[in-house]
Amino acid sequence: MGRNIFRKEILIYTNALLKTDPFCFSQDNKDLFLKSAIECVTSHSANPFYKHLLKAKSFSASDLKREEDLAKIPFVMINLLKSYEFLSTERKNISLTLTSSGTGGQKSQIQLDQASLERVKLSANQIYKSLGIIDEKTYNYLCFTYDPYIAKDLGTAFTDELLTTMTKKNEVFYTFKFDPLKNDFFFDEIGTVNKLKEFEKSDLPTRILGFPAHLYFLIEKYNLNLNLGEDSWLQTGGGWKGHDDKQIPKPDFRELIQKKIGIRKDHNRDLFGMVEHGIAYVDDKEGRLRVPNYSRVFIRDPKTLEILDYGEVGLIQFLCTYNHSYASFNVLSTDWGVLEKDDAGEVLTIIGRAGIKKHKGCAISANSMIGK
Amino acid sequence: MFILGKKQYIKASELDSLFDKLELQLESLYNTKLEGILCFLESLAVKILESDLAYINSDKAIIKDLLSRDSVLERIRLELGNDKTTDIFSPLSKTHLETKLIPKGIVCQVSANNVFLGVLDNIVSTLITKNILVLKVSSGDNSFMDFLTEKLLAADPDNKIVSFINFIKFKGGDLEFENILKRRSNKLIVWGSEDTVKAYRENLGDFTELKSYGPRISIAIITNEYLQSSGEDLFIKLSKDISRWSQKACSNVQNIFLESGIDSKEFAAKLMLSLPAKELEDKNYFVELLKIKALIEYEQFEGKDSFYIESDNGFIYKNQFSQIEPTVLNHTIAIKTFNNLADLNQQLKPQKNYLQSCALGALGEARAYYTNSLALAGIKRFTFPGQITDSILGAPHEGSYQLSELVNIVYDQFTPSVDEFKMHIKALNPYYKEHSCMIEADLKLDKFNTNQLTDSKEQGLYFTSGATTGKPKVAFYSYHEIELIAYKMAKTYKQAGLQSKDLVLNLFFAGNMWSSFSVIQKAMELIGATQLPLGGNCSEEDFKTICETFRPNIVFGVPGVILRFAQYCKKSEININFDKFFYAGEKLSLSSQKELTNIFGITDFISAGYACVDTGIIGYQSPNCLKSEHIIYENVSDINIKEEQILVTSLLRKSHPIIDYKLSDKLEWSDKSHSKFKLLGRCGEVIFIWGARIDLGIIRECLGDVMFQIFVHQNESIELVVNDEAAKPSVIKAIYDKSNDLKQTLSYEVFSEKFIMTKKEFIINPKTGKQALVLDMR
Repeated sequence: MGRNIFRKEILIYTNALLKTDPFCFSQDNKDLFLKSAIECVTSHSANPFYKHLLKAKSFSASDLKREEDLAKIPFVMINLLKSYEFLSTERKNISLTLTSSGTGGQKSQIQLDQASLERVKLSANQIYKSLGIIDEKTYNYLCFTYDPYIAKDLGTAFTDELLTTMTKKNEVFYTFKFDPLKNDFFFDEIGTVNKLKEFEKSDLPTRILGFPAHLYFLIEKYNLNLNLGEDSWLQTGGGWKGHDDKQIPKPDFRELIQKKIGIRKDHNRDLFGMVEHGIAYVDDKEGRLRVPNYSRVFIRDPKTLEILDYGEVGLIQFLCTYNHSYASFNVLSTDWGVLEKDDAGEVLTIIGRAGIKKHKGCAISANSMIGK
Repeated sequence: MFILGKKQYIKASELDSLFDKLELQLESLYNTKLEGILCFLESLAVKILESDLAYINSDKAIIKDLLSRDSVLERIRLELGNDKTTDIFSPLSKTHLETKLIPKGIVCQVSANNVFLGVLDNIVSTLITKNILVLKVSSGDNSFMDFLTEKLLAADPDNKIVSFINFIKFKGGDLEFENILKRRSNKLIVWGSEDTVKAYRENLGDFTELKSYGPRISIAIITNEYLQSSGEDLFIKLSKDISRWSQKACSNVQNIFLESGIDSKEFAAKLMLSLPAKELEDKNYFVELLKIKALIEYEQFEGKDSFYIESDNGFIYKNQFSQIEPTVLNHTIAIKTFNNLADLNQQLKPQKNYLQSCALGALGEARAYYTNSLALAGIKRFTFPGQITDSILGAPHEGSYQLSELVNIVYDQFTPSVDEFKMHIKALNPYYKEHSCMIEADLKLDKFNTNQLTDSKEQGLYFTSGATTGKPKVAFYSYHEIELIAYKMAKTYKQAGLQSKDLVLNLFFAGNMWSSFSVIQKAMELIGATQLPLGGNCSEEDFKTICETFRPNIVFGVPGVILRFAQYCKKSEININFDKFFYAGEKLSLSSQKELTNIFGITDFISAGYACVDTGIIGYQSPNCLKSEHIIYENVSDINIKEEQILVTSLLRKSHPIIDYKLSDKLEWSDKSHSKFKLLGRCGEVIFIWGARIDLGIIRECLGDVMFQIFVHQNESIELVVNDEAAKPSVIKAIYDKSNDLKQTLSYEVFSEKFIMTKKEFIINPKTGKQALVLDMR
């Protein structure tokens, strides 16, 4: 392992980038991202495989001269993260290891040093703040996830815990309880329904975090008719994986949520995130996933690997610069997506999982608990 | 037929009503004759083969075969044992029980993918077992369903059969629909992925049976020896195993295991050149390839020998994952290497439950070594490379017979009492009401006609005598009856010490009314003994050569024949030995036994059974019988003794029944409670001697109106006694000339030594006062 020559204090551009508005795409901000990418590529050349990849593709940080060059940075196929470790720093520097959930298959992981961890938290905060999701109120939280104090390194639990820190919180309820007798988690449906009813009566607004299918399932099964109030929020993530046949279009889902539990449509925000990548792609008020200036998204043709135009469906590549400890900063995912551009920037639409074989990702294990 | 368009999905309530309707049709299909279904399938073949569509043209021969009458009948015979049993109760081989195959009822086949041949096979297998088909069409591309629907309707304009075929379509994974299928189908056959099978297995109806096929993976194994001896041709063969049906079939090779020492890269390069072009690829396919390539590139970075090669023809790779792995198909092959069989087994173990076929490139003892071990490892079928996608009619599918999954077996334990049997036959065929006591004349051709048969369509053997001595006799045996006789006889021979390690010389005669030759051959097959089917007509020289070459230890035949060979061997000083002699057709005198012991060293003389082609088998000799004793075969024959004569009823012969048939033999009970009887001799019109039959009619004809009596002496000679001056020695020549049997068996010189004519008083039976025509003293 080569020595990580960059320290938090000397990653000037990377740190500066995260202080800017994630949805301000001024030339200066874009330049800042380019320069932070140079810092990032340089950091990760400490990883032997990434160094090999740079050499194989005849690429170096000095090749990054303009925005178009970002697409030339060698990427790592996301499946490699399930089989190999990609540390770009010494192990002793690692503060947090996050793994994707999953009972049977191999797990992806990411390891963050303290600086990278702080940066990813800051990036999320900035994004949520910029999209108007964070305010000064105190909330009751209901999280459709595992208790993070038990499932310490699970990505979904980390995300939900992170999200609960963005506002002042009163009570946090985790729907997946640990059964020590079975040594496994279970979906506490009745407890969840009762908690929602309790929150409805509370003076405080509610924030619900978690998989959309879980909430949909509860609404259907228990025929919920609640009004959580004007100030409540629903922040979903993880998609409908494992329950594709029940999936309903986003506008219909927003309509249903407003009708059945009283959460306004513009307070219903979906999140797309990947443990391996870390940047949050969050819905704006209209329910469109916004790409922040903290990352770049490319859509590639799976056969030729060429970058596709706006509006064309292909594999999504995610490039970010906050992470200097694990060489997963530039990954080609196995998700289909489309990138579109409007006046406010780029909008990402996730189409679904690519590939022929079943890919057991983060969402499967928790989703499998519906009906248990 | 309930068909929905390719974009149209059925509603749950419609599916429930469909089942209501189909349940009312079950009896109608059950009573439809197989013949009607065969006609429909043949007509369907004609309609389909008229088409010029690419997927029809490429598999024309298979479609023709799948739907042809002969193939379907053979498939039923091979998989279910008897092609009559879907229509009527009919005996099954091996168990010999009167059996009928009853359909399961409504069979729901959940199709994995829309492969035309697969759907066609679903239709054939379900219909020929008289089940109503509900085929859940896969939600993928099913453009051919419109074509098939059109052809099905065209093949059956009167809607007689096609109404039993139903296609349904609903969105996969919908529990409401799946639950109806799980609850209301009598048999649910699921072809598909592990998840699909699992979904259908859960909450299955109490009376719904489930059979799942798939998912499956097939492989090829190539040894160094095979590769060296097969040359470049091997790659063309493997290419077929991989690419036929675009690698979508469960029998297509996905992994090739190479014995260590074979250069994987060179092998892959040659294979790639042999592969045909791929189909247009799905984008998801390339995503999978990206994943594989990424892993291989990482392994190469680590200095491993992983590689991949790709072209428009396919994608071949070798990674460090030393286990069988499903590939992404469309000409994608994973190359693996193995050090030895144990290593290979270890690599296959993770997919043990999913293994299907193996194109095994191994020869000689290695092949047996591999097949034996890999069968336990989970492989269900072995072929040579190049043949993995070729199926063989009647072969099991994934470890069991497909048709047997679609029927229940019902049987009639048909073991009536003798009286019940007789009444049954009489009720079946009026001929036997009118002929309650049968004699030989009943079997003569002028009396025999198909009216004596209970089923004129039954297949079997007609045994007929020659026409030279008058009107020939006829005895008909169905194939099943012959098989059953052989089975019964085999059991008694095993009791007498005959074993599978024995080498048996069959010297019985074939042809004419002789049934022994073929029945003994079948019985030996059931015992598993090896045979030399030489026949009684063989020359002495052939007998010597065969016996000296193969050294059989058991001989079956007529005493006269083996005695003739014994004389020859004695004269020529030839040393041939047998352990046991199973004889029939004639008596075997003590002096003859001594002679055979002296010449051939035979120590065991055992009756091959008391039987007669007219009636079938009657008795067998058990180890505790005296030499002249036999025991009646239980549930096979019944004997009624009247004035030393016997009336035989065969309980085994149902196709050409024999009821109270008068035999020309004399016998008495030696232990009636154990059905043991003793043969007293022949009283009929035929003498069986020297392997021939001497018809007394011929003697009577040659002598004219002259009284005579015949003595058969212990030394196997015949004395013709006459008391009339008119009898002349020239009669002996005339008798010989008229008898084909005698002419075929021995020369006139030998005959004239053994057959003498004397003039003296006749001997009268002091008890009955009757003069016996033949006095057999053997």
